[in-house]
Amino acid sequence: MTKKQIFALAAFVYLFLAPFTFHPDIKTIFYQSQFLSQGIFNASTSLSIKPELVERFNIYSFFAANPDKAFLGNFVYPPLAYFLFGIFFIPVKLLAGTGFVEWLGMGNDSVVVPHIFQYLFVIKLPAIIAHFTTGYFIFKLLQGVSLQNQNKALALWFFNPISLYTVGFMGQIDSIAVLLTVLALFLAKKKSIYATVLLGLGAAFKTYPLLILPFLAIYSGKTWSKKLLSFVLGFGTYLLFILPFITTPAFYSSTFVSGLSQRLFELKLYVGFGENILIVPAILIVLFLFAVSKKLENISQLSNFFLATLFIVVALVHFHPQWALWFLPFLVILVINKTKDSSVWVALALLFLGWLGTVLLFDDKFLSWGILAPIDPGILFLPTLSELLHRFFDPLLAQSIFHTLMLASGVYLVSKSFKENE
Amino acid sequence: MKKLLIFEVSVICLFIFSSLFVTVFLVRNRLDTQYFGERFVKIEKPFRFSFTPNHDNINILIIPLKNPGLINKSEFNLRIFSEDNIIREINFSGYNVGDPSDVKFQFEPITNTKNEDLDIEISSDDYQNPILINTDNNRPSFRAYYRSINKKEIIDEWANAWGKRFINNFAFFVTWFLLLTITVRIAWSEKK
Repeated sequence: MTKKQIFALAAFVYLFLAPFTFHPDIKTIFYQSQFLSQGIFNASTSLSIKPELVERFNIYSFFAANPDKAFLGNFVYPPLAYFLFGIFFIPVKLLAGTGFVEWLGMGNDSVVVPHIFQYLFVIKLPAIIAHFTTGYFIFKLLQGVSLQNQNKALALWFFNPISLYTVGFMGQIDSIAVLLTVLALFLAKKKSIYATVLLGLGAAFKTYPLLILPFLAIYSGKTWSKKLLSFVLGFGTYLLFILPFITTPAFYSSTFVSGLSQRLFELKLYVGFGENILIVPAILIVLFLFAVSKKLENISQLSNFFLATLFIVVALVHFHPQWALWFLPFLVILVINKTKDSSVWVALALLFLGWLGTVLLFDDKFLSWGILAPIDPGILFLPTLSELLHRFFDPLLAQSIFHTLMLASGVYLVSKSFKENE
Repeated sequence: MKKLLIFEVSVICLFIFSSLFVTVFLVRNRLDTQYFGERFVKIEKPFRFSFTPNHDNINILIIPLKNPGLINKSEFNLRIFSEDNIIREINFSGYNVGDPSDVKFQFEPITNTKNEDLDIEISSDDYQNPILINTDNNRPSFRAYYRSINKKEIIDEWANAWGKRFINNFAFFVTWFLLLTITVRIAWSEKK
């Protein structure tokens, strides 16, 4: 089996699945990002910058000022996601053909339009291409292992439930941020400045790469001043993108008060008098101190710290399915480095089972069989798996068991990586 | 290569068979008629339209409505008439209408609807802050579903619907099939 064959077989599966499965997230981001190109085209008719362009450049204040256009929700990602998908929108619209813009503005369960398969196929292409590029760099990162194990890594990267579900079925944009984090790891040794900039760019797309920036800074700087400089460079790149929006209240309410930034503080120990110990930040600080004390010397150690940080952040919160993609590349690298240890494969299988069980039991019609709605729109009238199971037992308990299974097997794998570091 | 191929074929077969299973054995409500409007217009008086179902047992209507700024919280009424007799009536509130949203009206299946005209009317007791309906010159945007439990009929309808979908998206499916063929060819040529 060659690298080319694995890529070709993976392309077959992803391209086969893409037109027949639907999750509204990717449609929503394209709907929201189309306003960028509309603003640009409006401005191109005149040499002076029109207020319309300025308004559409700042999607956060644009939606706050035009709530009738924000009926699919506010834009919750950092600015680079808006700019990038605003640019993607132009070729995607061309490829998607007639009725595409109207479809983007329809309700989320509009899977009955005549060209639905074409639309779904095209809007998922950016995520699929990013996923395949990440696969290529994972292969490159594993230059030190045998060719057989490099191929195993590729097969594992493409053919696991997390990748198939979040990229093939859902077309989630997280795969672009994941590509940037893997590229940063790839460049960390020889071009550390580019690596920190890439993590900054990743954070300007989805905030989470900021969490692994300190570890990259520790690895790439020989002295404390260089470590600090490296961190500042990465954080500065992120700031560069958010600075134009820093005075926009809607930017804070849309990006910081949603998703991960709030959930990080949910798991806590009450110590009385209204005070809590925040578990996830506490673990992250411990990991940071470990990294400081260990003197990160090779890419494998850095990858293991990326894995530990991102896994803890995802597994200890009420996560979105696509967040599991964040730690997946580093998990693949760990597993391939420990391929002879059968317990690692068992733990990996349990982690995937735990993740899948947790996701399928979310009370969200598009996360269970609703994702197949383009095949038959009648599927959207079915109760969710969670509602069905409610007749027999508590679905939240079942979901908690799966989540615990994922956490426990992941902690086992992370502990293996720390043993390797020693 | 062999293991990966077996895995790949299994994934695709699982996908096809689970989709078929869900469609044939679990889905009860199937699409009968859909119509796409062009623009939102205010409902300033009782709004009436008609359609002719292709099946018996119509039981769901989905109508895109828009409540600007979610201001309207008054009571609304959806009535279904057959030969000027009210056969179904559903009350709903402005609270149920988003800005915009697909509003779902589910009712007991109406028997013997095939090829019979049904008139739908949406009315309100307050037209001061009117809600909007997506429409063109003929009728509004809507989807009608019917209840079906006859497995043979389901399979026939499903095959028929997919046939139409392939014809309507012929250019896309040809391109898609070509892309898939290219991937298979690459994998195969490497094997040789």
